[in-house]
Amino acid sequence: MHADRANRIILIASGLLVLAAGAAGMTASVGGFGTAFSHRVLFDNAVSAYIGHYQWVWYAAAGLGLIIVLAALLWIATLLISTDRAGDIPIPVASHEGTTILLPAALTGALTREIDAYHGVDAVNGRIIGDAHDPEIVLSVTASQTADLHALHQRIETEALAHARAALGKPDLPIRLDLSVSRLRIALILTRPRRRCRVRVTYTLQLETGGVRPWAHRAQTRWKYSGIYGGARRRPTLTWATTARPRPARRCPTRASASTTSPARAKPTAAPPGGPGWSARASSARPAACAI
Amino acid sequence: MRVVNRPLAFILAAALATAAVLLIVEVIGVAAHHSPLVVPWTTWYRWAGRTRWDQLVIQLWCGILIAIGVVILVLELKPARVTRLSLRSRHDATSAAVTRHGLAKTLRSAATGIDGISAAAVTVGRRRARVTATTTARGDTAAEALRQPVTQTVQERLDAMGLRHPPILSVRVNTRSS
Repeated sequence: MHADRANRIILIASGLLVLAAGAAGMTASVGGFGTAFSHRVLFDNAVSAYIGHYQWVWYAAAGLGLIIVLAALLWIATLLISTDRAGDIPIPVASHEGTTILLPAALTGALTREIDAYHGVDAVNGRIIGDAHDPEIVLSVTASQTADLHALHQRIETEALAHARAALGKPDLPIRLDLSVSRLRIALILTRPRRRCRVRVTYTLQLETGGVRPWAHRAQTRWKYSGIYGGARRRPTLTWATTARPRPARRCPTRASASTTSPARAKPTAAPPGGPGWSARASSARPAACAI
Repeated sequence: MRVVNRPLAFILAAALATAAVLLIVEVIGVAAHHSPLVVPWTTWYRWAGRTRWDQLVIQLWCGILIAIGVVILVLELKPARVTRLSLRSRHDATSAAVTRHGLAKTLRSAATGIDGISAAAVTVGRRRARVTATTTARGDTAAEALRQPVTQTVQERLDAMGLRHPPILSVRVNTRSS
């Protein structure tokens, strides 16, 4: 069981215990257990007399204390190091000659790359939680303000999520999808492309406005320079220049490869049947190596 | 996950461990006839032997215990604030939702897309979405004239979202001066 649920249960029990102790003491103090009792000293009762009379109670309390110390240390260790992330996911295969393991990062990487290529998607985060044999995918998709959220939701569900379920061989794989909308962004092209022989450069302009704003000075400007192919052997580069917040460089620029093409390495724009990142998985026992 | 749970749990676990260690140390101290070792429990014992239940100090400590218990229970049992609104999904295993802020931004974008509306503030709750649009026109008549198109546009955007339980929409159009 994950630590968060245990935390809540133990905290509720502790709160009830503290509240009950305080309420019982207050009741005794105001005469709820009789006026005579409220005039007694704290140790003038049967329980205190028993504890004071028999030494073994203190040794038993020390033994119980030892158990409490161990349990508390285990609890602290669980709090500090536990995570809800799933481990390596075994893929069900027909063959009995080996086990195919899917790294969670490979699955989330392929999934986020595919969704990131959809129109109207600004950012995607994914993680896999739960047990490795019964995983759950949690996706957070940030769409632009002008995106059609319903259409985006339908597309994600019918394409990317279906691909993920097919990749894991689990038609009923639970997936949690959170859609959010990005902040106001106004993009401007500030430069002109340099012309080179045998190179075609495509600039992608993202223009997203949320209406007329009185605080135009706060509008964030971001432009995406989708890259130049210097030659047939050179990998495409993706450069982000932004006045908003820096974005980490991508190892696999799906958008760049889709929007920037050269005659030598032209790719079909249509996604493979399984979507980008999915098709190579079937031919390898280590899908992580193929998903990049 | 509640943000407060982990720090609270850490404090409780550390307090329990410390109290248990002190108890063990003092029991060992009593057995070795070297008590008290760390905490002056003999002083506390004598104080408890002469303090009556109806004294103010007992009521004060009991009040503190009640307050701590109530605070912990309120923090743990208070329903979490709704941050996501469920969307209708094709697959039963998919739990799709839009965040409240995301829905608010979408509705605000729809409202500000109407000619004459310069700004809009949207608050989305569990059951109600409140849109307060500001028009550049002057006068209540102009604001009232814009109310219907704003309501229609925002309602269409809300309906198109495919929410499982769409919030009730309430629209208010203000002039810049009001």
